[in-house]
Amino acid sequence: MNASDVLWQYREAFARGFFVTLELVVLAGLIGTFVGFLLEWLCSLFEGPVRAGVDGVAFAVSAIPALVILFWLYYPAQSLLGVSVSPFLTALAALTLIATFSVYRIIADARRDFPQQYVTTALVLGLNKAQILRYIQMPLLIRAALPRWVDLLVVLLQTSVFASLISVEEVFRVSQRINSVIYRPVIIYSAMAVLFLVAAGSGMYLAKYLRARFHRDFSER
Amino acid sequence: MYTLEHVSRNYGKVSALRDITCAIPTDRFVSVVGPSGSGKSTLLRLLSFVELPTSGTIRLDLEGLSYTSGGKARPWPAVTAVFQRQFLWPHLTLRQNICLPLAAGGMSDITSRLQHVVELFDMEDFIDRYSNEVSGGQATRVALARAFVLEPRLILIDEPHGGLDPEQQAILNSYLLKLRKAGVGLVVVTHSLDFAKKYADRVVVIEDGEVVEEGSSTLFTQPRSRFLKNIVAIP
Repeated sequence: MNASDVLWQYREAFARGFFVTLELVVLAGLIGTFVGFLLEWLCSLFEGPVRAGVDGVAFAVSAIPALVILFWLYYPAQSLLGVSVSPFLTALAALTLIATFSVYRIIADARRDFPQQYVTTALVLGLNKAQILRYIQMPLLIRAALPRWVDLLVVLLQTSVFASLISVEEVFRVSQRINSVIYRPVIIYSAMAVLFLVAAGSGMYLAKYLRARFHRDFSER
Repeated sequence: MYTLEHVSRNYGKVSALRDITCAIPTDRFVSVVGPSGSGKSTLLRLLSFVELPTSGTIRLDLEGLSYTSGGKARPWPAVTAVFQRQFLWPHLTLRQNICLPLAAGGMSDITSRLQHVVELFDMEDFIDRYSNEVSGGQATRVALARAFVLEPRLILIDEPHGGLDPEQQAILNSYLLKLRKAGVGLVVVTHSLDFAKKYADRVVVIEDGEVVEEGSSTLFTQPRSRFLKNIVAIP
């Protein structure tokens, strides 16, 4: 059985596994983005201790390895709460947690670096707050945040392989299972690497494109 | 007319303006001069109502309407401002920079207004560029045009000559005169005493956060303030 035979024979298993991986990443990315935005907005309303608290949690989430968060949510947290959550949902919760605080930091950084004089100028030219948000702040913030956001999706994709350790049937676990049957590790893990290269490479290319398309050198020439 | 009563502005422990009481006309060409760090730009920000005084009050009476600092005074864009670094929005072309406030204000004659200012400020050659693709002088012209197109009664301008060579300064002065001829009141913070002497109807001198002298351009022939005396004494 040559390489193409292996891949062809197990194409459906690979596809299913890769679909689960993408499902995890896309859902975590979308929910994390929404909640991260919401969190930053809430912090901008209250600032002070609320901001300090969220910053502390964001630091902790970024400092603790993803695998530890995943295991903690899967074993101690469920044991403490007396609940049983499926591996997929547990992995989704872990990735969403990471995505949420990453998005929060991306938006908070972009807001912190935003030149307030653009807003002041808009005010004295008669724009109201909603118009300033729509036409000045959002376009500039999105331009600043978008490439980092795409980078985050790539990181989530790479992190998603840890889900295999709690039995989520994502592409890495599927590859392991196939390998345990036919023992062709070079072919199988190379195929998996190609899948990741295509997915992550597309994301990286998109990030590069967005940087070139939207990031303007604001310095005078 | 602006009426300032005991206006002070502090930034932490730093006192930028101290107990200023004076009147500043809004229908004239007023120059605010003084040494660096004397509080000129702070005064301009207070007059534009984007900042509040730490103490004291600023009242603006304009065409029957009265605005007082401390409340939710929003005299914009009847009173508007061009700040020191123009702050053209970098994600928009210069044309869009001018059109956005018009569209946001619900103006119906955007095209004709735009055409008018493009011709008035000679911007045909660069109107579709971005702000980082034009010179400092051109950016200042666009910022003035963006303010003027809204037909304000008063434009507050901070250091319009900053970073411009003498030729660009002369060109800029001609545009400021065009604004004045169009009936717009101007309050211009400047380091250029020649400019103030030549064009201003009224001059306000600030030193160490205090208004130390004000009057017509005859101030330059009989200066009382240390700042003007020192400058005039230079041969």
